[in-house]
Formats: sequence, structure tokens, C-alpha cells
Amino acid sequence: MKIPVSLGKAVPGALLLLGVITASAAPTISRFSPPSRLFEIGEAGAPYIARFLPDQRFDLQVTVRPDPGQAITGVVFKQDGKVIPGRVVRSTAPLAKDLPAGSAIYSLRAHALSDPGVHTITAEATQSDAQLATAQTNLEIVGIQQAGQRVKNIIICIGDGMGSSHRTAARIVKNGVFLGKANSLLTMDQFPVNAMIRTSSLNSIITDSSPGASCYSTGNKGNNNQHGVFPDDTPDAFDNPRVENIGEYLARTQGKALGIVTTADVFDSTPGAFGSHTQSRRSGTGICDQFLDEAVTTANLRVLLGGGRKWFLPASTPGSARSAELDYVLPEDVMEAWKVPAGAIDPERDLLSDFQKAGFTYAPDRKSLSAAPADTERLLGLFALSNMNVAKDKIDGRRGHAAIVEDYGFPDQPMLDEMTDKALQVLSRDPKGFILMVEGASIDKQAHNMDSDRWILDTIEFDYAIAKCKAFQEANPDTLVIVTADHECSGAAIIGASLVSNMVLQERAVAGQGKELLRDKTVGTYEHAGFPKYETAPDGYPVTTDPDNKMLIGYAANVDRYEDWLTNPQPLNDVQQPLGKVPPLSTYPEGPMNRDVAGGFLITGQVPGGLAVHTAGDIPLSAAGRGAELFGGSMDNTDVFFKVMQAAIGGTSH
Amino acid sequence: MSFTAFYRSFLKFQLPRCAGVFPVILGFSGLVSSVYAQDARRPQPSPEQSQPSQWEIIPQSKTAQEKLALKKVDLPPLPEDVEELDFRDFFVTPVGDRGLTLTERLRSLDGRRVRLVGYMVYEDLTRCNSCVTPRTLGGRPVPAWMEATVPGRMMLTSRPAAVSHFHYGLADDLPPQTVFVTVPDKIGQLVPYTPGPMVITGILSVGSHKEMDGRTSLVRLILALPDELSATAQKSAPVVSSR
Repeated sequence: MKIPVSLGKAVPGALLLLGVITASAAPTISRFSPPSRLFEIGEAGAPYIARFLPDQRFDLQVTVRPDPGQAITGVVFKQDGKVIPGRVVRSTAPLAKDLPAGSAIYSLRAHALSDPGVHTITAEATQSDAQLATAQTNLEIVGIQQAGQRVKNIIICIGDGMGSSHRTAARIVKNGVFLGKANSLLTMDQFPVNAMIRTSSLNSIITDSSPGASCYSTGNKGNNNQHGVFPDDTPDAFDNPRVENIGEYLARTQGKALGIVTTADVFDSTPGAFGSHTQSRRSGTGICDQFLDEAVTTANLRVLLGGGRKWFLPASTPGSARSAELDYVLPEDVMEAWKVPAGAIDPERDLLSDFQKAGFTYAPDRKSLSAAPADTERLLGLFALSNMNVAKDKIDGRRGHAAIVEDYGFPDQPMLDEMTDKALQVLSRDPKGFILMVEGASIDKQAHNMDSDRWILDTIEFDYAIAKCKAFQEANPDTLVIVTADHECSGAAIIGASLVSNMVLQERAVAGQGKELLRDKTVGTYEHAGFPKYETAPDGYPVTTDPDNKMLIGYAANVDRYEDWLTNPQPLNDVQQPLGKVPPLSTYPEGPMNRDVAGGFLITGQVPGGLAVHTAGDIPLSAAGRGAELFGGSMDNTDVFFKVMQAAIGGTSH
Repeated sequence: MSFTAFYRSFLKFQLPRCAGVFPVILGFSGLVSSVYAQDARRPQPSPEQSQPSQWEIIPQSKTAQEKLALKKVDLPPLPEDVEELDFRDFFVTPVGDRGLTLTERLRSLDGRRVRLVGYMVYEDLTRCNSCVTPRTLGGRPVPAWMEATVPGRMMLTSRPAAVSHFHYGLADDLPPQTVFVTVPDKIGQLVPYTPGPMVITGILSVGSHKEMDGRTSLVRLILALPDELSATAQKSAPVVSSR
């Protein structure tokens, strides 16, 4: 039979192609923790993404995808050709939906390396047809130099969202500038060492507060929304590969105590990053449970102050936000390797009482915080159901204009410096020293709202807290104090000052003449800005945030908004927006167009959504005390962790 | 501005139909004292029904506490079957050392028709990649806005507030006295934001309830439809009450 020429040519080719396909079929390792450039793009050199201290614990984990119809039967981790001892456990959790059937996740928990230098880890995954998948990742163990005197106490002050302009604006409002020089400096200005910090996260040039704080607490990058962990391929919020944080490491190796102080809800990203491990910054129930179930034991958490009482009350208690969806039960391998409790889905848990049973003195307001005995060893303060009220509203309350704090039901909330002072009193009782994280949380939140006056006052409040830390450092020279930020928020910039008095500005704010009046005839730039002058009241805050010729702030990362330059009597909206002057809306507004509308000065934004966003600009860091000289120049945010640990473990020559 | 001009300009504030979404008017007048869909042909009040301006702007230059202030005016007469409710009636304040204590007044109004003056919470609709809200509904992906808010629902507070699942999650600045309002005409749909104080009337529901966005509501209200309002209320003048 004559074979058609075309078929005769096609068949060998098809057989060859089939052979190629068959020969190249193999399982693939699609994710390897800890992450590395080696695994992602095949580059083995610096910069090393994952870095750890000697004996700092972390999890190894791989996600393996099988060929169709096959299954993954096992994984082995090797280092330098040798199998790493320890249990390799296959995850039983539901996997991400985009993984093919038969995919598997294998982990080796709580691994640690001692030798400084770069190490390569190999994973070998076996498929049911005996085919192998191999992948490599690398990491650096950052050595500690024995250099002299150790730092006993570490204070990390984080101004959430606080960029360079936020500091400058606070200085101008609080202290003023005249004839070119600041009349006096903020406390943070007076720290002897400064550096610029690069803030990008593991998955973006723009970070959020979770990895933005986790870099300081673990020395490692993280994905946005995640802290204390590397990303994985399960929806479970608490089974991710973990990284041991600063509190856990120093409690384990040196017996130090841990304190967390914030003006936000205590489950929020920045405090959460110092006391929990999760891929979901929103899991308030689980994060707060983990504060007690893990951080108190493994990190020696002794002070926890802030808002967020709603997570500490049983779900059936009015005001509680506890829920099963935001809680966790840990996988057995995490429990065993990290020696932590499993947790439980327990929305009815009385976490507040459990803290008290664990020996914590509880302070629900400023009065009880002040009254906490001098020999208090463990202190829990929950001053609001969620975030505490911002500095402006708290100060207004103390000045007799308590409408806002009274409306919220918490009229006696402490200022951040009062909280910091008390935290230092409690922690300093520990002879082995402590780590204290102090967060000025609402600098960021009000910058998101583009509420200039509120974030400026929050920055001033933060500086008063820093002053408490600096005074402590001066009395205790074996203390290192760092002032930094997780990122910049809103692209805030000092653009000038008002050309007119406050009275005239108020008239212009309701004149509805738009940019011709509120921009062209109001914004004084260059020498027309002069020196805005704010009078400081005896309580240390401005008498008014609406003086004549007030300083003006612009935003580079803003959304559509109206601006009239006046202090908003309430966040985000005015009481008395004359409805007739609100423009008809044809779509859901993307910005807070409801505010300051009467002046008609619309500023269109660069970003979508409803709130201003974070930016990628480097942020300033200031350091004082023992070990401060270790900082300087341009640093990655993860470098800060290793410098702090050098000071705490290896010491410094100063 | 005269009251007539104000009233007419207010009635122009409405959302045109867009992509099949019916416009919603969140009313501030007696004619529009609940939220529902309507079109631009709704009858306008005649000039003789309007009243002289009931509010004036009082500039204050002495303090930074208020930019402007409004003279307090009265709300329209209360329909017979409606109780007036103030946010300050919700809980015992100051809050004690644990949770909230509901007042007897609030408890007594559970299931009753009430009227409140408040502000709609601004909900940022930035797509939220790690939010609690479901990504699918009935097997289909949810629209992006549904990742950030709950369909058919708005929140009402005594003071203007905003939330953002993307930026803040549940670390929010909402006051405890937040009412979760179901808008019957917007079931399954986005309730568009409307600024400014508004009068809301509906059936009150008191007790803890888990919302789709992970929040826990303590006080809820099912908004009354216009036909359910008494004729007396519908003829009343719009008002603003200063706080």
C-alpha cells in the first residue's frame, strides 16, 4: 500500500513530538519558602532576599504541582547535599483554587542555621511515577560581631505613614520657623544618627503596614497584608511559613520582655507584626488570641496598650467583633515545631478575662492606667473598641470640647506619651531588658483621609512619646531608641501658606468660586508663604490649627477631593454641607467629595479609590543611644532588624 | 440662600440611571425622608409649601472647633407610629471597662418603627484582595465593589465617618453607635453614597449579628419605603439639626 507522502512525513514528526512531550513531563515546584532570587529568576548572588540571624527559626516549605493524573508522594529538603533532619509534613489544609489537582504543600517547620554566610537549600519532590522535581532557594545567615557593650533595652518608635514632610510639618506647627531657622526642634530631630530607609515589600514597590512593620520585627520581607510569615498557597490565614520575630528571639535567647503600644486597634498591622504570624492582617480574633496564647509565653509579652477592646470580649457581649471566620486552629506541625498551642475557634472566648487570669493588670482608661501600681509586671490597656480617637479629638476633649470622645463613649483616653511612659515603667522592671514598640498609628490613617491638621497633631503626639523614650534612654545609657516609619502615606508636601487670614479663608470656603479663589488667590508659594505661626497652648498642642496665614499641605497620592484649607470640624465631612451646593452625582464617588465642597475647589487625584495611598519614597530613620552609630546611609528596612540585633547580641564599641 | 432655592436644589440632587442601577435619593426633606429609587419626574413641592430659610451660617473665628455652625431647627412632626431615636440613646456612656450596655430605651424600641438623624458612612470601594467578603456568589465572581461593602446596605452614624476594607480592614474609626441600614430597594445592589445629614425612618432591630463583611452589627434598621410614611411627615419641611 502506498503511504501518502504527507502522512509519511507527518508520522515520524508526531512520534518525535510525542517522545519529547513524554520525556519532558515532570512535576514542578512552583513555590519555595524562604523566597529567593535564585528560585524566582535563577540568580544566586546578592541581594539575598531571605536573611536570618544565627539560630533564628524559620519554616521551609514548597508547593509542588504534579503531572496530570499523578500525585506527589514526598519531599526531601537538603542542604549541602545532606538531608536536613526534621519532620517534613504534607499540609492537609485546602489549597488555593488555582493549583492543579494533586498539588501538595510540604513543610519543615522551625528550621534554623548557625553558620554565617549564604546557604542553598534544595527540595526534591517525588511523583507517583517516580519522577523527581528539584528546586533550590538560598538565604543568608547574617553573622553577629562581638564588638563590645550590648544594648539592654530596644525601643522602636514607628510613625505609621510618617515621611519626611510629616516630620517637617509637625515641626513647623509645634515650634515654628523664623528667619530661616526652626525656633526649636522636635525630639526626633535631635537624634544624632539618621538614615534613609527603603520600604518596598516582597511583592511590590509599594508596601503596606503589615510587611512594613514585619521587616523590623523579623528582618524579612513579606507580602502586602501579611506579617511574620512568607506567602503560601492555602487560604488558611495562620498556616503560612513562619519567621521568628524579635520578641520571640530575644525572649528565647536573652529573656527580654516585650511591650507593644499603639493608638490603633491592637490587632492592626504594626502592633500585630510584633506579636503574631498571619497572612491576613484582618484576622482580628486570631491575632489578639495569639497575643495571649503565643506572645505572652514565647515572646514574654508584658505590655499591650491601645484600642481594639472589641476583640477581647465574648461575641455575645455588645461591642464585640470576635468571629469564627477571623480565628484559627494551627496545623499540628506548626504546634509541635514552634511549641505553641493549637488555638481554637472560640468566638465566645473572654480574652480580656483570660489576660487578667494570666496576671495582667487591666486599664480601660487613662485614670486606671495612671493608677496601675508601680510594681505592675504585666499591663493590658484597651482604651477604645477599635482605633483610639485621634490626637486632635483627645486634646479637644481635654480642653472642654469633648463632643467627639464622648460620642464614642471613651472620654478619658490617654495620649500616646502617657501610654509610653507607663509601658517604660513596667518594662524597665525586667533586669534582662526589653523591646518596646511604640506606634503613632493615626498619622497614616489621617493622611489617608488627607486630613492635614489631624495627622500633624498625631505626629506631634508621636514626638511627645518619642521624648519619653529619649528621656528613658538618657537615664539608661544601655538603651537604643529608633524612630522610623513603615512607609510614607499620601505623598504629603508642604506647598506654602495661606495668603489670607482665617476669617477671610472661612468666607472663601463657602463662596463656591473654586480654584480661582481658593487656589490662585489663597495659596502663597515661595516667599509668599513666609513663616506660618501657630501658638502653642500649655498642653503642648496648638491653640488652633486655623491661624491666619496657616501652612498648606498638598498631596501627591491623593484621590479626587475638594479643599478649603480649613480644619475639618469632624473627620471627612462637615456638619453643615449645604445640600444645595453638593454637585449632583452621576456615579459612586471615588473620593471624599463630600468634604469642603462649599468652596468649589476641586482637586482631581492621581489614584483611584476613596482614600489617598501609600508611596514608595524612602523614609527617614533616626537613632539615639547605644548602637545608634550602626545606622546610617541608605538602608533597606530589613537591615534595621539586623543592626538592632547586632547591638543587642554582639554589642557595640560605643 | 432662601429655603425655596435650597429645597429645589436639594431635589435636583439625585443619581441618574446608570447601567441598570436605579438612582437612589437619600432624603433630607419630609418628602424624601427614606431611601428609595426614583426618577427626575418626581413632583416638586409648590412654592407656597416651602418655608423661609430655617438655617443660617454662623462663621466662627475664635476657635478651630467649628468652621461653620447651623442654627438648630426642629424636625418635622413625628408620625404617630414612629418613635424618635437619638444616637445618644443607644448605649450607656461613658462605656465601662468592658463592652457596651444597651439602654432600656433602645431595647424597648426593638421591632418598632423609629426615626434617626445621622450620616451615611463613606465606604471606600477599593478592591480588597484579602477581605472577608466572599469572592463568589452563586458560583459567579462578585463585582469588585462587593468585595468592599455589603450589597443593599448602608451604615449610619452620628458623626461623619469613613471605612475602607482595603486600607484599614476592621481597624476602623466607626463610633459604637453605628446603625446598619438595609435598603429594600437596593437588595443585591450598591447603595450609592450620599453626604450630609439625613433623616432615616424604619424598623429597628437590636442584637448582635454577623455581617457579610465581617463586621458585627448591634443595631440595624430596615428602611421604610415612602408609601409607609404618614402624609403628615411627607408635607413637612426639610431640616438640619446642629450637633
